[in-house]
Amino acid sequence: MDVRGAGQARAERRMLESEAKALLATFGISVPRGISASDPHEASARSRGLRFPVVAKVLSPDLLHKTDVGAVTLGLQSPEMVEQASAQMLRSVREHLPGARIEGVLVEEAVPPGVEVLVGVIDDEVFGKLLGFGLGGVYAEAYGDVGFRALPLRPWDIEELLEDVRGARVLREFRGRTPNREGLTRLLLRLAGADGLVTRLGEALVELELNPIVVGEREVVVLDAKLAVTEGSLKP
Amino acid sequence: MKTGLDALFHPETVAVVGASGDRANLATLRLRHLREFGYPGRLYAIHDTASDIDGVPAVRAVEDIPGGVDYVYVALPAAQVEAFLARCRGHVRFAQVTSSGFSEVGNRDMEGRLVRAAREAGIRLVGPNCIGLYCPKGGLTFVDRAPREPGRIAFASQSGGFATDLIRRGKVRGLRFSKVVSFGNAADIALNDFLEDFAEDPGTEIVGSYIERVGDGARFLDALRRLLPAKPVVLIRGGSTAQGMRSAASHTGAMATVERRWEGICRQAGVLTAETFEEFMNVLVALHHANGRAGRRLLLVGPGGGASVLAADACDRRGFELVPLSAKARGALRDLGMGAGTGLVNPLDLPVRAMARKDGRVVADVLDAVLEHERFDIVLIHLNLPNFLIYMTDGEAVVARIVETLCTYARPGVQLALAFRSSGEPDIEAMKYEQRERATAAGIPVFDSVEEALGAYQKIVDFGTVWQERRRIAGLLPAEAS
Repeated sequence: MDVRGAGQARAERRMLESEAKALLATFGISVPRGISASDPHEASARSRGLRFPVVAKVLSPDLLHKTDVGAVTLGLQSPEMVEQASAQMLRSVREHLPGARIEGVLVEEAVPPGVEVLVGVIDDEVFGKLLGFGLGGVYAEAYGDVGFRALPLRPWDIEELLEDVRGARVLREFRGRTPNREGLTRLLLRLAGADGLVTRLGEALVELELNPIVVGEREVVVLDAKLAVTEGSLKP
Repeated sequence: MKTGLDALFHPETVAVVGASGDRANLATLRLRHLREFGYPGRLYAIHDTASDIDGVPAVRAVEDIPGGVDYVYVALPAAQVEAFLARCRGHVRFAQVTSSGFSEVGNRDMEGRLVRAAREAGIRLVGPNCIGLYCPKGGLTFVDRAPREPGRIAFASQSGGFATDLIRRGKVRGLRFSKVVSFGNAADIALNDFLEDFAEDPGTEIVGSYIERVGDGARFLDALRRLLPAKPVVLIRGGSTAQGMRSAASHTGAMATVERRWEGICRQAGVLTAETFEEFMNVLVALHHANGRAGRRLLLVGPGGGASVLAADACDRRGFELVPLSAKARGALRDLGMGAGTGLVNPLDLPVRAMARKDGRVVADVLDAVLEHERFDIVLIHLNLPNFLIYMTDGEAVVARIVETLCTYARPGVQLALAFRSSGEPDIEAMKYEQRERATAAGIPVFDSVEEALGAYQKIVDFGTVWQERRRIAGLLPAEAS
């Protein structure tokens, strides 16, 4: 991979997952219902309004792979478990990455299973911003079943992109269920279409990756979002 | 309609510099090519002392040519080119610099100086490190024995060798060109300039390009938008050049190989692509001799046996529908005497003796019998040439008659195509060459195998489907959304 000057030419700020998801939501892109909190106690209290089971994650601009440092806990059945898990995760992160800036905890409702996909943006030196779409979510790199298109995407670009991947069949039918393909198309348009998020951010966007996006029968939800912007843009 | 490059492709005055009076070199060769090709304008050689080179009038300097020069062909050592261009100031419109030793070997500064020198002299530059131009209407060539007749294909290439091969091998396959340009390092005039010219040129209906590197991506895509879908574009990319990313999300970036990015770009642009020279040429042959619908309903007519079975498998793999023959068609074929010993299915197996009936003219009746009762998009007739010589006494004449019959066979909307199998032996090759020439002259494309024919048509049918789908989707959108 030849990535030139990533982050060198301009100072960049990696958004917190909560901030990235809030931004996606303003563009009509679905994210899990959740709350963020500064400490385990607040996380527990604020999680009472959510539907259980929930997922808890550590909020930090410095964690690239949360699972590796014990920064994600699934299947929490009660606010008490949220508090315990949050405290445990903070200890774990401090142990694995002592210098990491910890901003708090994100607690989200669990999302029903569906087809997992990865969506990300690269800036090609000849063709500019390209959207990558791959099957397999967190396994996308292993499958290598990915397609690219230049922004902005037109409606037929998305149709063709979804058919381009070798595993296109799973997007038509998955284990006897029909994934919400229209919902996925809408998401991609809102993200990378003519007036979508990527176009609106313009030069302020340094990096974007949504992985995985879960394409269910009804909802199409972004489970994890990594977004980096230039320093000074989009202050939280 | 005149484009900025009109005087390049149709120059009224041409000068060639670099010819030596005593030794044959690239420049003298080029002078000979132009004379033999029949370049109709004023042709000069530039030489210090000679008054003519092989009959072409020679002058000491470009300024000695009254009225100026539209196109100078420069075959000088790299170190001499800059000074030569400076001396051309005010007298030359276009210079094609064949000399190598510039950016392709790392001499970027030297190439930069060359471009500046050309600009200051008011000259547009093609190259350096390239081979030449071929434009039958303009009388220009860089390949000897190139066809004199202009055609509808325009081809622009970073590789001169590829361009040369395409003209020569294409000649034998019936390809005819409006323009072919080898543009080398593209220090000044580049691929995008040529694509834009091809879009404006009414004489060009099909566009091809061998690409290694694109400078301005946005302009490239814009040029393609101007060409497609009315003028099909076939691209073949040589993947030796790295193409970086200014930034990339972690996993997405790791998966974004240059090949995958280009594949996405090409599919999005809606171009046809090829991965080998042969594939590229086969697609051009199919486009050039398009005489029908090019859809998925395919009738295969062949000699039977394993070849037909494999051909049928290839059709399945490539998405072609071997529509079964209707009862009426089978009846009509039986009336013709077909059926005993031949299977009346699709693929339609006609052994050599069956095809030889009515002195080879029965093939027209066979096609009528089927096409009268069934709609087909493509009819691919596969002739195993050695069989005709093995199993008949006058096999060559029979083949000639079959081809002749097909040359005059007309069924509007049906794409007729041929595949000639040869053993490679001289007499078979000679027969293949002669019959292919007759068939392509009549507008029937000829391929070296069923597989190659199907490979080309698959790309063309998919191309048609993509653009049709896009029109359909666009039609469903309000006007301002596109």
